[in-house]
Amino acid sequence: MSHAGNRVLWTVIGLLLTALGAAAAVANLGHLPGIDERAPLIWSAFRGVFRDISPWGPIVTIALGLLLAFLGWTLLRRQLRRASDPAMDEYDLRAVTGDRAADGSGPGITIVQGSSLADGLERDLTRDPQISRASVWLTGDPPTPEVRIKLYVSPQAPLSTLREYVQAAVDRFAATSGLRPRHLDITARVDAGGTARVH
Amino acid sequence: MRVVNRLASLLLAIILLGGGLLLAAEAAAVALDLPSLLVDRTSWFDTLTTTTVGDPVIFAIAIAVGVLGLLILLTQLRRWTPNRLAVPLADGWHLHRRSVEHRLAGAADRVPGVRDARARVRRHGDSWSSRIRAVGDPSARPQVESAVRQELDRLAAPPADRLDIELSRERRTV
Repeated sequence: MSHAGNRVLWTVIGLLLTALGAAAAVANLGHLPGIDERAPLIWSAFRGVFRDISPWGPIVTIALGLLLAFLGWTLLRRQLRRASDPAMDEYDLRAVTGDRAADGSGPGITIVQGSSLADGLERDLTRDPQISRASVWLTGDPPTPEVRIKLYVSPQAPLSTLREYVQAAVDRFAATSGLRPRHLDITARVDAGGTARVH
Repeated sequence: MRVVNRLASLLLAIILLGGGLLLAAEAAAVALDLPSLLVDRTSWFDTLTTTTVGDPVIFAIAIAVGVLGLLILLTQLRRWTPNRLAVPLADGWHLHRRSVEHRLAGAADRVPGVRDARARVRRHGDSWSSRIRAVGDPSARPQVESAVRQELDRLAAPPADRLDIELSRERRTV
């Protein structure tokens, strides 16, 4: 789940909790229409009603419990997933080259792994000694994916030179893969090269 | 805040998953006339049927829930510090904010007589504003400014950068 998704989720939870707290406080003071502040939180005949509608009472409760567990499981999975956007998966090379055979049926198909291409670009980028580490993510669909790059660069690296090198690496990537990145998103992290505090 | 949000979401997910399964299991135990698994059902039922809406405990809980909700809302709606800063080097290029702050603090620290430099960089539209706090002779301010500006140039920072430098003779206690 993306940071924005989590922010929306917790904004909604914050709103709900604020509304719930305010409503409960107003009800407690006896100012909420339809709620008697002298009434118990749960009607004591509730247990009888729960038993009277048997077997639907437990069935509905079990269903509610399973629904909550499913929501929890879905949220957990989304939190543990690495990227917010789905990575570009394996693709048929014909998505890039088009059908060469006139009738569309060639001698076979070639499947390319998106992650292998990303690994290749990472290796190409780290050939520059100024780049100590590079992470590449391809998202979207071929032949025009979005390319996200995270670079760990030396403090001595002049950024303009670095930009030229990265652009050249992306051009090589485009030439060899046949993909045409529709958007490049690059974040460079400059190594500290000494200790200093931030605030 | 991003990490706190992710951890809170993970916690919420685990609570929903565990609580939902427990609710389903307890309901199944009721249906099958089995004893409680983890929850003391009778005690909970007695509490909920004897506590009134107007009970002071309910008021305290309502206020606590409301305040918690407001705190969550405030933390989500206020402006968050960006993780990265756009640089006018080329379209799509960014610098990791903390690494920029480390570089600026390091540049200030390298000026003779200046130590314990701390830097803060924020984005204001297309420009950055930088704040440097360090221990040292205030007369060294021009050298610190020059060193920091040099570092900003090297980092391809936007030209209209606002720079606020404060040098104090003693380490300030926070």
